[in-house]
Amino acid sequence: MIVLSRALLASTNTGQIYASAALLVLSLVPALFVLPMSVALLLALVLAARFVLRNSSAHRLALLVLVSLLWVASVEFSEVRWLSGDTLLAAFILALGLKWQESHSPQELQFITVACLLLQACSSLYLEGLAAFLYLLLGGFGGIYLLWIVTLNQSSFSFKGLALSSKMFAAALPLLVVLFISVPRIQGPLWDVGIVMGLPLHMMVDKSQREKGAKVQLRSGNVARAKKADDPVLVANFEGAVPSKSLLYWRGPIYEQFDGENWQLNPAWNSRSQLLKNAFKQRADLDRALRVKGSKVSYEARLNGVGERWLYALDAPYGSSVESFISADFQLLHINKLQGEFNYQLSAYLDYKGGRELNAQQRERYLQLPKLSASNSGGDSNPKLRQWAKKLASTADDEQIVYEFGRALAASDLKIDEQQISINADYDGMFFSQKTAPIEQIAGMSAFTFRAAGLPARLVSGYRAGSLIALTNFVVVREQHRHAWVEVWVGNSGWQRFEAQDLLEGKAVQSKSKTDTATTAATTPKKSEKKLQKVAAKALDSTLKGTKSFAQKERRGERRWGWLQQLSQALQVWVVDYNPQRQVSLLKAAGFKKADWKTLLLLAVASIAAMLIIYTLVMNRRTQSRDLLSLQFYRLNKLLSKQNLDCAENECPSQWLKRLSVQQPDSFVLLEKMIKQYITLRYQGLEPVQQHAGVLEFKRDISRLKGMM
Amino acid sequence: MKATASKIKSRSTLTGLGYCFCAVAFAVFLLAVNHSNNLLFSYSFLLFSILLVNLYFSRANMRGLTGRCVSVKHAFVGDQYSYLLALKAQQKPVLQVSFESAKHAIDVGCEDSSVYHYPFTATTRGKITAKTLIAQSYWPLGLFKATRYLAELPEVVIYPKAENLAPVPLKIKATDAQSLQQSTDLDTLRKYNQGDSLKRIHWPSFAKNEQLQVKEFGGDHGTPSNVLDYSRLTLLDEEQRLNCLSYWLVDKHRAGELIGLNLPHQSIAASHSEQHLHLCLESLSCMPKSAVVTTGAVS
Repeated sequence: MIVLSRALLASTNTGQIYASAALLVLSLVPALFVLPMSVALLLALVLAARFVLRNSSAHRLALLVLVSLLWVASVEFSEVRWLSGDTLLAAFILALGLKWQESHSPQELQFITVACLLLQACSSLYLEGLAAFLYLLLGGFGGIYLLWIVTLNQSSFSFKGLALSSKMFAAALPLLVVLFISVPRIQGPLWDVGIVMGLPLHMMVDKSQREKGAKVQLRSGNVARAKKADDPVLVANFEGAVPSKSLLYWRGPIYEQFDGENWQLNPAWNSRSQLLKNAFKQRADLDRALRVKGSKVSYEARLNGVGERWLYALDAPYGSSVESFISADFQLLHINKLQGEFNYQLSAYLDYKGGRELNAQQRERYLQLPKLSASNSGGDSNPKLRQWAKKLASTADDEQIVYEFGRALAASDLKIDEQQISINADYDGMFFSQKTAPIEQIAGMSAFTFRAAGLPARLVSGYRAGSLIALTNFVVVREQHRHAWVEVWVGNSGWQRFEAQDLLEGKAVQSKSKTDTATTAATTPKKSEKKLQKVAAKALDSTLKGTKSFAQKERRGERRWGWLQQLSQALQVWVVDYNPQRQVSLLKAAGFKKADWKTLLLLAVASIAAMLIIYTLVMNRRTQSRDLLSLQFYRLNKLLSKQNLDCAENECPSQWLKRLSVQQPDSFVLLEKMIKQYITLRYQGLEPVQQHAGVLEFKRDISRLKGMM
Repeated sequence: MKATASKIKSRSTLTGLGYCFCAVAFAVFLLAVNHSNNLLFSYSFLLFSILLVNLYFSRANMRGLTGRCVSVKHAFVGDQYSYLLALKAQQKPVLQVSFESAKHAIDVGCEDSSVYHYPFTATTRGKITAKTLIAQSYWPLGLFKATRYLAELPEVVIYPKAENLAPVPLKIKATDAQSLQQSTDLDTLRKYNQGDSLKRIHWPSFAKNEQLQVKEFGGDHGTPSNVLDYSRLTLLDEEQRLNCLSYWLVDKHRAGELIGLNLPHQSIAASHSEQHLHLCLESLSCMPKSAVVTTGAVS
């Protein structure tokens, strides 16, 4: 009897076509909101064509030509570059749409389904955090379900298919977790491998752009404009694991004077004799100057100089290198203005505080504020901030000032917007009303506020982070990593970094402890991540933002969506921010003495092997335990096989019985009873209760037989 | 036909779709590397995990499937023939089982044997040698093809196409009378050929010369039998002769007549039975030819 027969990959049904269209739409929805409208319109045209056009090659060709021409025209007349990621993604989407439009066979739908999985991955780049995570889960599940219905030629909706997809998903999750934890993270763009192999940096640099970057003034928009370029600035090869990218600050020019619009370098910035005179000449000088130092790293850097002295060493530099010196402001400077490539080896303390004691003249310089501003010619510039800072200074010490300002910044609605470039440094407007500014303006505003509160502060420009290169300890720093931050002189600690960006983006918060008050989040991410949430929540009802009703509303919202926030935070911490450093720390916590990517790789292989063994055991156990009657029959057969009386493969039990009557006449009566019992249980379709009782009796009889034999 | 334990082997191989799936998972991995995106890392790991789970599911599905060939009938060129298979799942139903070049997939239950017709179209005369029966399944996602050896399929003889290309010879010539059952008129003696009836051996001459000779009878009485002669069909080409002889053999057999066959290198004495008919047709199908013997699956 043929149980069930289905056409195998013969043709598709309408349900499958619609299901594949649904998956296609799901796969491109996040991207469609970002891509030009023309892409969405062209795709709608392609999808609609399936229901309008006849299924002929001439019509299909005409549609292909039409869509291609329209797309080429839309790219040509827009500002999008031909080889940009968005253009390539749009091409992929349209190609997939055209393929779907002409698809009729299951193989074609299978191909589209698999391609949709890739499209989902691309689209998820336009989402963040929990939304991206849920989107990928949903897309992956949809892909599996569609593959099942197309492969087995099922209708579009099937509980069986949903159950199987869920089962496969559940079975895949443990392996996914093991892979996620143990597979060494390969980070960084793959196209930087050429630089690592020794390709000269200048070959990839547009010098005209870089030379424009050497500035005496830091104007609003300088950093944002430089970020648009993708030229490599330096390549660093670390000894050992690369630290977290957010801890890497590549120190460049330091701006001291603020004229109300721009920040200026020290007038002696270009005087080699002055710089050399004040430089740290011996390591002991540096040791004395750095009052707090931790997280030491060593590295070798390759830099392409374009007429500057700054070698952009990692903050805070330590050690010495040929043809260069460490200035009093912790900058690594070349003795000459550098032209061409330059290599240096150096160490750095990523956590640091310190600096030479400020003399009166220096203190005055770092507290300088403009008397007049162009925007407010009638009085002091940015009076609100000054007033707020003075009030703060009257009630708090240095550390508390830094903490309170950080808290206010974290609680504010201020956002970093690189496009928001204002000519005037209207910090009042930016902080209290405008709420958006580029990073150098926010850093400038922070330095201004500290100075207004009586704390010496300065603006440091350079680069932050970099691109890790896959499977190496190389970091490539590009123009896009340009950054500006603040250094503030706190009490007896000396200069310490204040990172406004992390506070605004909610990545960190400052600790309130008096001993470590002004340590920025960037330098202590482990401590700060959890504290951020508390501070941010407390700060919501602060004077900058809160009213009573607002706070009540927020609390209600927190209660309702608290679990979602917690889930999102957990995802951020354990998935999104899971990096090589965390992998290494997990390894160390697990007791591994040597924690590098090779150990991780070995661990990954071992974990995968262990998982495979577990899967094998689980699969075998399940199939064996499914049918008790078959198991008992197997027992009986095994018992009789010792006397060559077992049932042959594919031998009908009744035939077996006949054979036994000849081969084993002595015990035939007993065997006949048992085999007939088996035939009844197997083929007569008894009620479940009777069946169960019968199987148990069969089992007892086998045990008796075993005893007899 | 029992499949020995040593031959029961399962294999799983990636299909074209499976390779595509791997490529996509790897592409997502590269995307994750390029963007240093942990969510994409987890997505690529999810795809790899699903691939692996699919492998386990497909292997587990095929485990416990047993089968044997119950019967197969020999066929004429142009006809369909099918192996009748008895399939059984030992512990749980085996889903979406099919066979190479078969168009349909079946679910095999474990309650009783499922009978499945494994059909082919006979395209060329000759013998289809014994071959292995390998079941396959693309369940659940089509990423892997799980195969399992089940049994040996028996040899099948494809007879020449039965075509009525010339009239059936009705007259029995004198030399054909040797196959008459009740004829008593001894005509002559000739050398014994393999296949001659032992009843017609002339024992006196054997005793005298120690050479086996058989008696040939003359006359046209008794139950007539037919010795169909390949060499007489001079107007037809080789294949047509075989087709014609094939037709005559079937026709005469249906009519209940005794039939014999004279081929260039073989003579078959006249007889009447299913086995004899098969012997004659098999001789025809195995006549040397230039074309290669092949069969094509039902399309």
